[in-house]
Amino acid sequence: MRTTLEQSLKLSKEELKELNVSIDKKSSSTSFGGYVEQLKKIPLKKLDRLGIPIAIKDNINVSSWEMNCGSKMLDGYISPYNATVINNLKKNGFVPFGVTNMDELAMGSTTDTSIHGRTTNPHNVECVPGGSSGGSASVVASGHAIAALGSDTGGSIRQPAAFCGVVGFKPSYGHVSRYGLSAYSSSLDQIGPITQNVTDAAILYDAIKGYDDLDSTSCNIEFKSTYKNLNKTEKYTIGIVKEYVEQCEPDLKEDIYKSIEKLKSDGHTIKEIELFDTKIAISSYYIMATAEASSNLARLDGVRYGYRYDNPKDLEEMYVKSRSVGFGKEVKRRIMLGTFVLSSGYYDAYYKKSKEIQKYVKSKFKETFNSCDLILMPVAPTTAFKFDTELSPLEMYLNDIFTISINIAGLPGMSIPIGKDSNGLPTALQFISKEQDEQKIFNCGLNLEELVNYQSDIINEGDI
Amino acid sequence: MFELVIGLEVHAQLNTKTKLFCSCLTSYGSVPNKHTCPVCLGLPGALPKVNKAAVSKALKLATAIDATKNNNSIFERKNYFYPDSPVGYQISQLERPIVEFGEIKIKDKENSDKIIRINRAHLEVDAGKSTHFNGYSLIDLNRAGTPLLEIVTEPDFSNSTEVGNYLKKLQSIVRYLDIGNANMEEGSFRCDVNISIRPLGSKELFTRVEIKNMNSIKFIEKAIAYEFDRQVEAWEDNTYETQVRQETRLFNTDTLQTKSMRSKEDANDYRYFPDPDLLEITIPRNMIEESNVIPEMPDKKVERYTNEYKLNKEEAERIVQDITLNTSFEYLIEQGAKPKTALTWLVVELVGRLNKRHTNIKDSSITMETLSALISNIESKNISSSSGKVILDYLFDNEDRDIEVIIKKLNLKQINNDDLIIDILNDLIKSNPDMVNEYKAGKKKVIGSFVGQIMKKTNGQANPQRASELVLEKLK
Amino acid sequence: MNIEDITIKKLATLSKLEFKEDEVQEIKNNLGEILTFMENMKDISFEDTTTPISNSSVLREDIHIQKEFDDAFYENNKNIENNQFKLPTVL
Repeated sequence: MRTTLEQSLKLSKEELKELNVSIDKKSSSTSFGGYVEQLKKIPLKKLDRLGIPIAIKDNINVSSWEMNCGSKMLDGYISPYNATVINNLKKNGFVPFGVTNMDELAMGSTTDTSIHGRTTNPHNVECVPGGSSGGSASVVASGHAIAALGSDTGGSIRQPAAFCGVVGFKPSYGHVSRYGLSAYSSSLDQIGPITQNVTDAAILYDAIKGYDDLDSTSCNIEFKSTYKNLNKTEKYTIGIVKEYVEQCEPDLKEDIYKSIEKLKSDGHTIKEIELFDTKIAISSYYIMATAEASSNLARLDGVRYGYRYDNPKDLEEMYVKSRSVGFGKEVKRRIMLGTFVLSSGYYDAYYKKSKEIQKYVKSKFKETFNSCDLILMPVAPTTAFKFDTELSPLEMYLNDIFTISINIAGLPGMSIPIGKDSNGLPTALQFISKEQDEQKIFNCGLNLEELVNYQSDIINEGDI
Repeated sequence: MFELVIGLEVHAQLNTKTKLFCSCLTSYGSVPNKHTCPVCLGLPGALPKVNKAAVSKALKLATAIDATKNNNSIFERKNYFYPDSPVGYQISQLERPIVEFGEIKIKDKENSDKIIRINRAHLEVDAGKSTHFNGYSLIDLNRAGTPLLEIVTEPDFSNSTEVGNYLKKLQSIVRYLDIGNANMEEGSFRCDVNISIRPLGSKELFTRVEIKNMNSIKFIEKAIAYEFDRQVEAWEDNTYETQVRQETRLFNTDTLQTKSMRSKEDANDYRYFPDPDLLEITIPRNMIEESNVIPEMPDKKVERYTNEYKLNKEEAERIVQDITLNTSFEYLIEQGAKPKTALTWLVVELVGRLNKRHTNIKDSSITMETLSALISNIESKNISSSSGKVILDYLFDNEDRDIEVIIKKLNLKQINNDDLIIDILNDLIKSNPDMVNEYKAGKKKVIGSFVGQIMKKTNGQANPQRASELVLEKLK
Repeated sequence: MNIEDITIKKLATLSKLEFKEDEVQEIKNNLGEILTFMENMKDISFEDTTTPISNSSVLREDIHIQKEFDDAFYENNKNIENNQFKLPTVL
């Protein structure tokens, strides 16, 4: 029987030690490759400190640990400092334990672009675990970790959580400090929990959230305990965008409708709403995200840390060869796109426009939340797809249609597993609330969890 | 005939304790890379946080130059690759700088007043330092992240005299505000000069050339002179289009010529966009109000000194030129010295002697307390002015500082006792009857003679004015 | 949208990246496809909403704080000399 995060809070020191040993043992197998250490064939990274173990995505700085962000460009980078979330974990009795694999520099939705190799989906190793936090989702789904931290810029927590049948939560923008998170898109990035269930997500979220003096984008508000305020009996008005659900694969669609029915029967009010053409949100996202990324990644230049090309003839060659060898294809593509949309003559038409769209998306959501407590949406149009599916970059980006607009609007969103498709792959749906109103997501999520009564068998088995 | 059109961009380092976007110290001369942290090293995950004091200092400048304070300003990223810029962009300000539209009054070539318009003053970070060796370079990021205030003028200058006067004035404003050291040699006050020419009397603006990172007024004047000749020659030779391009040139301090910085690529596209790690900067009302209170600026001091202290304009301007000198001057007055006396003893006597000894007032072993005591003894006529000079020389060569003691030691106490003087005078009159007659016949010089004799007989201790008065009286 | 080779070269120089011949064509196509897709938002006008994008920054006091720094960062770095970062000559 799996130990949940909630249960581990009650463990004695001895039991905690045993738990750590057990995770170590289980993870020494290389199956699924959720941990970077499994792919590198080395022991799990840990600290000289006892606590409840939390797996950390390879883009969060842990002092003295090597952090690669799945990229050759950060080969050899030993972090000299702790991200604020790591300090927050420690304050609350948790410890970083193991580094999880990810798409290179958080750009991708398959966790197949990491320099360390691919992570597989525990439900079917021929399928992707999703990305970019595929490693975190995989280790929780496979029982190799109690809980994990991931990061979400356009769906990178929610989509892998959905594909792997676990819970993934992206907080409101600014609720969790970004200090120490290797930046992809500064105005969209958030760190969040990937857990076995909704209660665990509340616990882990509570442990990491809060105002941080070191992060200028951090929200200076009063934070209440999500865990202590969990209430699965509250009833809500839930908005459904039928158009979105209709775009999903048949099995997934069916499971979503079943869940909606269950919620309705249990006393929630279901309301049909209209949002906006997702294509607009995607354009805005990719412009904003790539523009910011192209600038954020300029610090990866081989000068002070990370990979540097051997024996360059001059500075220019050092820069160009280091970055061209160090970065993978997708990263280079996005840097080029980002550079383009910021360049002279194009800035107004692209970057500036994307910011206008951002305002539009925010206001549309705000309007919607005037008549709904929550919005229910799919996470992705399909369940986990097979590796090496031939998709053009644009087609890949279009997979993010249901997660992206939530990042643009800075809203909180949670992916909750609701069943399995006919191939045994997990199905999921997403709850969204207005900012700072995530308690409703957790409450309704807790309720839904009970109603669908689904827990992946992998999660149920296992000795940790 | 041609005229010069010059605009200046000055980068003034602010003297905050910590850097603009992180809490590393801004001190210098330490072990390389000692004052660094994840933020100014440009590590993945590090984030900037704006230094309040840098903002305050910028606002103070705004008050001093009558400029607009933008209480909603933005920081943008200026994207380019260079090893001394650790994050691959410089955080600066473009669209909405913190300070805009001010003015600074200077003297032109004819010594009349001229207004130089300040287009903007914005905050940005300084880069690190690179040292070059044979085949490699070393990068030290201690300086990276230090706050700079970039002050940009309109192209209002017509010659290098105005440029020199402006730079000195701006330096003094920065120092009086205590927002920076404004030291050109140390690199805390760097100037980029934008030069173009045009036919005399024209209002058009032609191609401007930028000469970067000048750190001496003397060299700026030479650079301007060289560029003027170069551009005029090109114009007259019909090679203006090819020879004079909008570019950055460097001034060679050996050859005294400017040379084009030939770069491989075209002009860099900096792709400015608002820094998403820093939200809009809204300055709280109380900060704006606090910034309205600034120390008395040199211009106001000159006005006050001429009105209240009755110093003449040159004297007043002299005493505001150097902030240390000025502080000393005001201290002496505070301690009771009369303005003109303080001026003389500070500027003429003390600084004169310091100059001869090749030191300056900062390193002077004679403190203002000591000078103040000396002045007070002179003003109270306890000693004569010439005795004062003797004591001052004594102070330079000796360690003791108690003026009263020194006066006794050197036996310089002035005789203010009329009787003694009258006694000596009576003797003199008795022994020099012919001189008395000369005086009666109209030779005024006799008075000086008698006073001189009195001074001699009293070892210089007689009060010369009193002696003079008594002689005059007696001889009447 | 048609991206020209010159643009690719310029963008690559600005980004400090290089692409081989065959890669240039691929990236041209990729970027072209993506940018064509983005044309869809060009014609749409949005009412000027008064929703602000974000709050404003909190300013930091001018106080020195010594941040934690694990020297393993320098120890594992082979491009350090005299505590400075070493580079091939800067031109």
